[in-house]
Amino acid sequence: MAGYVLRRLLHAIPILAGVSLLVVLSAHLVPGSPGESFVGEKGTPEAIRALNESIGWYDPLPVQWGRLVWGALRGDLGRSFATRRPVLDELRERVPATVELALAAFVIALPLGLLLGAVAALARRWPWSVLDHLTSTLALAGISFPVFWLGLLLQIAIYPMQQRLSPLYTLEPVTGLYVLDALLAGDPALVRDVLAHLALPALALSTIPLAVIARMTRAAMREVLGQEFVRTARAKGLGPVRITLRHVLRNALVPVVTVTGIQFAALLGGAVLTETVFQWPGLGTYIVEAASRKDLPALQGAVLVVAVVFVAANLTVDLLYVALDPRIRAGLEGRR
Amino acid sequence: MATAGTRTGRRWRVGGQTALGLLIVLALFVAAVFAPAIAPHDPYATRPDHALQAPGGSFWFGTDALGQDIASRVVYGARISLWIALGAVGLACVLGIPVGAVAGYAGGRIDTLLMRAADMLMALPSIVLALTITAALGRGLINVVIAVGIAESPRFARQMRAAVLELRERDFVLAARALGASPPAILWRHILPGALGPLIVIATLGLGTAVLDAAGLGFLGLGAEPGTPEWGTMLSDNVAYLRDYPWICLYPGLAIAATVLGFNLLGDGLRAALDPRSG
Amino acid sequence: MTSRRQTVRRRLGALAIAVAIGALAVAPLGCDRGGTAGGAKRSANTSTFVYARGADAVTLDPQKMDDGESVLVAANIFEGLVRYAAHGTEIEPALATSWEVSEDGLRWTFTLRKGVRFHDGSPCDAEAVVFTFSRIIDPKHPAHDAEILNTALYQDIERVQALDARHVRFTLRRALAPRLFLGNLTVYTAFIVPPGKLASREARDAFARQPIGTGPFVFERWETGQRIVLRRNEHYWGPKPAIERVVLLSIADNGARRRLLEAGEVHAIDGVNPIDVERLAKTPGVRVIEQPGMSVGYLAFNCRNRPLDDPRVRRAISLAIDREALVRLNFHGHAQPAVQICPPTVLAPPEGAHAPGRDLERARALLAEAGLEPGHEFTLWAMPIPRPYMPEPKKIAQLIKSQLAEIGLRCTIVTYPWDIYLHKTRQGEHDMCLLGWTADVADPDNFLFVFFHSANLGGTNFSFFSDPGIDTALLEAQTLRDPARRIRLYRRLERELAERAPLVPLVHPAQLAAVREQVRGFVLHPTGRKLFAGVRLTGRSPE
Repeated sequence: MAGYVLRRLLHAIPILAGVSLLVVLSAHLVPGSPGESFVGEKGTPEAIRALNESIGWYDPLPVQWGRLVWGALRGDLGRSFATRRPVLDELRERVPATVELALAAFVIALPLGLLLGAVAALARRWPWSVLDHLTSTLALAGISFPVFWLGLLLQIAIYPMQQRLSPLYTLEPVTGLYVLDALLAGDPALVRDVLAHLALPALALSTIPLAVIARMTRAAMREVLGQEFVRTARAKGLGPVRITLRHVLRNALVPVVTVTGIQFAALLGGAVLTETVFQWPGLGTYIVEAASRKDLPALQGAVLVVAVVFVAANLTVDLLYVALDPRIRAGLEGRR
Repeated sequence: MATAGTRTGRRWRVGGQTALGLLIVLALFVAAVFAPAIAPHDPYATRPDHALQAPGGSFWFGTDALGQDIASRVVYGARISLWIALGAVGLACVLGIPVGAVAGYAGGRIDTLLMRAADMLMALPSIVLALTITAALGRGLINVVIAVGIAESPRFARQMRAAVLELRERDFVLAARALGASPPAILWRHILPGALGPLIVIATLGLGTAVLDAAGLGFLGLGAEPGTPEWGTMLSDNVAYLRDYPWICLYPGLAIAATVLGFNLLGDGLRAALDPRSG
Repeated sequence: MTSRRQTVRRRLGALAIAVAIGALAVAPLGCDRGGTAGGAKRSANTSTFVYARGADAVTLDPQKMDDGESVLVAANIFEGLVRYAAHGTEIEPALATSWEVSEDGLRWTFTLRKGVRFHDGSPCDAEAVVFTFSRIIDPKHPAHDAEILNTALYQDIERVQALDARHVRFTLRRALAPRLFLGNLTVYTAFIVPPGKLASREARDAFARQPIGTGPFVFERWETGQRIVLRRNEHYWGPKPAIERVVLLSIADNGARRRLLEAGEVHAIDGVNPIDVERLAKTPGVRVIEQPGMSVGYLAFNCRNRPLDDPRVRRAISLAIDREALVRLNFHGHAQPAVQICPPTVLAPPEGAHAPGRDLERARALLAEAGLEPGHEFTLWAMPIPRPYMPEPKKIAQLIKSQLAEIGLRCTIVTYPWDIYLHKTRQGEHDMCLLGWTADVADPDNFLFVFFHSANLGGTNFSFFSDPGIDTALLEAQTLRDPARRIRLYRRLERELAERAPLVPLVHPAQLAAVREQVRGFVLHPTGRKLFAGVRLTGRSPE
């Protein structure tokens, strides 16, 4: 087991190095340079050149890539070209915001998705099947709405009613997670304020995982419901609630865990549009800023975080799989 | 084995939802093909004297800050979205399917290498990929198609690889191999037809994703040429007007949502019809 | 600080176990609560001025900054030798109390104000002035870095030397018009910095995050992307500010900024979107401030490309553009249609002059004369992002495109991400491109030399215009010591450039800000600076 985890982690290193290479290539394949975005319309060619030279932009690409990878291996992500601050410091400010948003979206999506999915799966017979059609269509609609548009609509629908949504300027950052900071500060008004801030983007962001989880729960439960042992349980006279809880849900959990894990990873890395719409100071907006400025160290740092989360989530999902499904566990141990 | 009750239920569901999806997709095609006949006005004409008019009169959906007719722009937008979606999915197929086929059929190192590359593409946020591609190539519809197509291709590669792995050891494939058929011939003649069902489902769902991705790119300001009636671009160009003139953003957004919903409904229906296990 | 760092590291670790939500809930419980003693603070009292703007500062090292948001902060922390008067562009003493210029105009001697100290207590003396300027003009100076951008403004300075602790002498390579030379000294690049804080590269990077100046406000705190807090300088040499603290918030979204002001949670906002002016003006308790600025939004022709190398084609296009419509539709009336290249705040236009009207007949005639067939196609480049001088460049491009269609010219609108846009237009890949300029110095030189001198090809000369006669005249104008003659020369240049039309000046946008009613003494200076030293708050404050 430990060997398996180690092997998987080792496999991640070339992927991460490759991602870092893509970052370097992507910035250099495109015309323009960090200096140009820094000086704007005022620059002279000499100033641009000097700036680019000072950050090693004209070094051969393998050198630049090597510098980034070597730094990252030693735990030093370098300094941002644009702000000249350590990338690690900047990520420390941005990552908690994204984690918080993703968690909040999940707090909405997971229970609701499970509930809707279970209801749809169980509501098989007319007239209950109407519920199934309704939730299925809703779930599909959830996937179909552009998140950024939903965000925009939520903003006009809700802001006029809540004029007093203040910015977070009154909050002293301690952990970086606003909800926790507000709780730590012990000011109920502040907590309400922060939650109100979090609610809209989290709601907009939750639609897709909610829909995906609901659909997967429904499909997995339907499959289990048709299987032999459920009918046996029913024949034994077990009540529908007990059957659902003990047998169906548990057995349907494996695929649900998979999509949940993947969706969570996607939320951490893929909230670019939602963060842009809501001006959320997280990883997504950081990536867009860094990419638009060709800020290699910043871009590499942010993308590495996303890639690590992706790899970690995949691994976690696989491990949970093993834990939940005895057949796979047996297989793994047999291989060893 | 499902009971009689579920079976009727499923048929009803497949019928109703798929029909709705089909209807939406058909409407999209009609709007795209007959845009000049349907649109009430020239979608590009600017009318300084009719700027920011509320919906009503000859401007069904109102006008934007330049006095352009939103209804006509939404109708013409169907053309652009359809073309982006078909182009991107086509490109994703062309890129993804051969890679998946080779990986699955060859196995070993080649498989590992190709799938690692696919993992890498998937580990990189697709928006960064798209940012880079559109930045390198400039704005424009073709470049949106390329960006979205590349971003979607790993999914096709994975599906094709899975199908190849499943079919590779089947009797008819083994028989063909024993008869001396070349690997490309086997892939083309025996495996691809067997993998077609799930690929069609993925492609249909991919059409929806492509529309969504393209709109997202447009929203980030990386879409079509400014002024093109592309739905995402229409949204991003008018965010400042959202609060006081909500109709400018309402209709393009609705059009995106409806189109994606249509493809998703259709894809779901196809999945139910083509893949007996799901449902 | 360490406790925070540890917490975050722990959180990053927890992240790796991703799905285990429980772990994240537990981690903070283990963290040290000592750091929370300060807790949440509400800026409730009348002595704190809360100001919301669109973006955060980039650096607070005045020599390295180049963006308005950084300058806004620095101009309240730092000072130069001289400055523009609070409401106009007359030059008045700041850190220097007086100055003398030699007969030949080559030697300027400044007398420094007595007893001025930096916020850390070190004296602001001749040594600091010499250090600051050597850092700018001498690439080999130990405190010089590549990010010092505005060196061109000071390239005529040959040497700066301290005569004694309170006297500094500038030796110039050629005599400059006093208004130009002194104007350059008002720019943020020439703000005086303390030499002791800038010795090493590390020290300079730290200084850029923790600046020390001589100005009316002392830097207190910077939370990147969120806010910068300044505190009143209790030892300021001049009149002490009425407010104790300034909180500068970065709120990127125009709508959110406006809502905060409407709700009374901030005292003032800038970057007001022209379409929001009407609504804000009607909001009770809110006042909109509109002031002419020093910027121009323009359309530059690539004078090297056929057929735009023909001035008749360029003039025809200029005649086909409806500037009034741009102002109405794009700026909602809050801009002036451009009469000339320099905004009126910098060079008063000749009396009775008004923006060139549309003349489609004449435009068509000029095109015919130039032998250009109708239907000719151009690329029209539009910036991807709003700029202070042009909030909606893509809409402007669409309007110009439809206006040019009326004289039979077709345009393809081209846009790229910002750095690529600049790169490609500097390479001359465009036929026409939209751009603009906000001047640092209230002098026509800061427009005309910048746009048209051949030395700026590949830099700020986006028209690829190069003419020896104009070059000579631009250089001569820099040295004319008689102000009246100088203005006559610039007016002549404006006339000639209008005739040859290497670029079409479109608009001079107004500066727009909005404040709560209890705010007094808030001024939008033509240079775009916002100075908080004169701000007072009366009566009830937000919260």
